[in-house]
Amino acid sequence: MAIGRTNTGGGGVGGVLTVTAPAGVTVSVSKDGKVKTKTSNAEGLAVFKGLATGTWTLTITNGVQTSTKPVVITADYNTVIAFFSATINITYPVGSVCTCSNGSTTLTAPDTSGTWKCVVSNKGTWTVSCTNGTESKSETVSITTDGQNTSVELAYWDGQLYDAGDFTSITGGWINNVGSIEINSSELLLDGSGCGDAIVRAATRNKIKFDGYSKLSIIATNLDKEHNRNDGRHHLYVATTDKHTPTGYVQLKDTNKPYTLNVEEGASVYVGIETKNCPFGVSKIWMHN
Amino acid sequence: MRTIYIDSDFKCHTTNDGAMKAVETDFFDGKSDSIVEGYRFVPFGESWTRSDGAVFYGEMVTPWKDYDELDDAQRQYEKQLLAEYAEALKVMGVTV
Repeated sequence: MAIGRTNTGGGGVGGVLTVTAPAGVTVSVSKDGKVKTKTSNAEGLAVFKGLATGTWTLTITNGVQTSTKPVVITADYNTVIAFFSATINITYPVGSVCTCSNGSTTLTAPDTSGTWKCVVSNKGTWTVSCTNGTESKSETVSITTDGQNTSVELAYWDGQLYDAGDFTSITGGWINNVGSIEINSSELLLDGSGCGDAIVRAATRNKIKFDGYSKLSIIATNLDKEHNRNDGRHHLYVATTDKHTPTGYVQLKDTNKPYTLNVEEGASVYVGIETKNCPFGVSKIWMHN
Repeated sequence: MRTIYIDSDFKCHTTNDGAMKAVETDFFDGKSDSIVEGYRFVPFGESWTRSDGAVFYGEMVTPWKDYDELDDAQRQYEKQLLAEYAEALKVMGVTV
């Protein structure tokens, strides 16, 4: 951004305000009902003379964006003003209508292609939403910096059972046989600490239908490897009759990497996790192909 | 804990034909032989490729026969065991 020239000396009554703005925009100053307007030149400069002392409102606009700031005139003064601009790169389900709003301004994606490079002109919290008429999804984004470039990916339910929160309408919630279970937006935590040799399990209350899915995956956040109090038993499992009697499982060894269990497509099974005498924290469980 | 045997396709067997790998697992404790024969056991460090090309890594235990069929077989096995226990108790003079 160019720095404005300081306008020294000069004659006449009142102060001289030198504004540096984007080139070719409308620049106006207003105070007590008095408005002066100019267009910034190729260098982005606009000079206002004879301004009375006090606080003037400086505004620039290019017909699409507007930026405003107060300017206190006590003597000759130079200031810089620019349009705020940040980009939210949005991915959303194809065929959906996508909007981005900060509560006072709502922007709409130009098409339903599933990708939108949304340019916002204000700091603050923007809510990105999409809907296909029957499903909808929203996420908030915090815009704090001019030039900020951030991404948001929206998706309707697509096989998740736990993902930064339980999909209770699908799972019905989780029930453990012993130990304790805690479910929040950070993790699903099954704790078998203090349960001795008992196999501690937690499973969905509902049977889960693998309609169009044939894989079940999990990512763990806590396998208590530091304490290594158990024999390495951390399983993701499925059960057909008794929700705490597995009919298939995959064993986890490390955190923050996916482990996948084969499931017959179309099967209707309980989904569970299992540990022994230690915590088992999970960040995501989901069906997929 | 039980010893089962896996073939080159990771299918489980209760007897070894001489070319199979022995595996110790407690997953089949209390399960009938027909249950064992309906499963795959992929050991840790190995991988199995499904017919559609999807790759799964061990340790993973997963049925290759229909779940309902395996459940039925297990129910029949448990019924038979109960009948045998009842008969044994009867011989001992205990009425069930």
